[in-house]
Amino acid sequence: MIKVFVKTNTTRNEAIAEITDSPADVLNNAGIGTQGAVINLNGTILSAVDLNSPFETLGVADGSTVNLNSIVKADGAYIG
Amino acid sequence: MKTSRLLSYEAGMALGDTSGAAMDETLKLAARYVGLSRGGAVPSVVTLSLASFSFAGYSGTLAPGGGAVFLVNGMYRRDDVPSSFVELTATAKPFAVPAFLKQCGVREPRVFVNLAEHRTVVTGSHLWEEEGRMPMLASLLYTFLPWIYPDPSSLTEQDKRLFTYLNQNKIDEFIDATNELCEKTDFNHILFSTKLKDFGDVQRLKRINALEEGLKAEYVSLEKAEKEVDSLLASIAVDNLCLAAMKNAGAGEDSARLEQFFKERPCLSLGPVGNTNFRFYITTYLSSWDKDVFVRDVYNNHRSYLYYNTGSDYDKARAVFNELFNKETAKIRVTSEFELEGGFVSLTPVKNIYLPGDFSNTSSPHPHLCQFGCLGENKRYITDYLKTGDWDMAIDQAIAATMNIAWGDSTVCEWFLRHMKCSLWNDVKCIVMDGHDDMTPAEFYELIKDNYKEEV
Repeated sequence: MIKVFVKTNTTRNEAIAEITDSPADVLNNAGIGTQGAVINLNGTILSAVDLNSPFETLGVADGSTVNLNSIVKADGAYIG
Repeated sequence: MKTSRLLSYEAGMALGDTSGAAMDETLKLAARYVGLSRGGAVPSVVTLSLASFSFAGYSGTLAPGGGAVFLVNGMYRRDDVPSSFVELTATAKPFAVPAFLKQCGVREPRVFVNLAEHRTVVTGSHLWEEEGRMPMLASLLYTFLPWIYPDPSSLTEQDKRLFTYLNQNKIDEFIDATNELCEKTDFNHILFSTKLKDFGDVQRLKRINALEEGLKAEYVSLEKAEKEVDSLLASIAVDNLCLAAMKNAGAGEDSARLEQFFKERPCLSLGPVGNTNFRFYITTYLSSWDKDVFVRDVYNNHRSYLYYNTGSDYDKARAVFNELFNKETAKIRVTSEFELEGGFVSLTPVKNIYLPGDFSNTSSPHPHLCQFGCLGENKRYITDYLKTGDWDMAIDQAIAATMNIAWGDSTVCEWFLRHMKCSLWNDVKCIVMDGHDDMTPAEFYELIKDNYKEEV
């Protein structure tokens, strides 16, 4: 069992998950979409494959606490 | 008795040649003629009344707005007097003034009256030679001042008494009668009300001007104060933001968290550290852009900046762009520099395209951040994160900003194209491709050029 701190630009959640769960599962349970977002797990940016891989595969040990951040992909320019 | 009549008596007493004389001299002269002078002193009532009667002098011409009665010692022709003046003829009643003057020894006396302007001109030679002549003339006031005495029958007993005293040259009686009449008249009030009227108006206008000028100055001051208030409000907003950020950042634990945060993110490198801030570098790959915009608006649009530049083999850079951002067969490594202020109150990109050390050999400066310092929409998210003390999310947002390029910003992207061809092309190994060592754009072009030429 792991503790996952989930942060987005609008929400801060704390979730309990199994190491067999994937980051996508945790995000889905929290009602957080992944479209248009950069997701990182403890600072490591997750690819589409990583997002659906179990935490265990991503190197998360049982009993640990991790940060799962969802960052908005915003444009680098103000374009009206 | 009407005040206007009383004043006319005073005028009558004061008939005299005023040409070239100051007012006080005129008064003495007039008083001497009517025998009122006592050792050069003039009764105050004469002074006051004359001041308000506009009994001005004559200096050769009848100036508009001048005095009411002019005695001109000289031979005048009709042509010398404006046509608006009517000459009193010998038939004027009850006394024929010119005939009287002639009897008194005045040669060729003439009297001209302008009823509309309330002015009279008496001319004649040897007008002043006998002292008794003036009181006699004054007693005829109702004849040649017809605007005051339109009908001789309207004369009151008091009027007649004064005329009688004047005619008989009874100085003391005349003064007594005048003083008796004057007891009921507030000459000071008349003087003030007539003279101070204009004065008050002038003062009123001056006051209006002063108030208008004062108001203008006050509005300017107000505008200045408003700017200061705006500046203070902006400063307060920034301070509140900093305060909220510092409070929410928590105490003590941030250093350890920051250290852990940097360890977890290999894309971060620490830069110069100051007392109140430090800089760090973000090195990652451009991986977030709108491919449709690139293909439709940039690559397939032959009017886009990709095709402006025809010299220096820009077509080669264009081919590299196509591989990187359309076909995505390789990636380009980019670096940005950020400054984080102590207390996590602000996180801003540093505008500097000259990357330090190894970065300059292996990475392109981020076009939006290093050349223009523009975070775009990312700025709002970073600010919001810092307000709530989420500096970690703010830095993650900065990382996301470094991964992004907005093709719709033609200024930035044209600069990026030029920079690739002119600065990165042969020297910076910023192109990363699976199965290959890092390459310069030139090396990468050599790899793709054959396929690219076939496509074109």
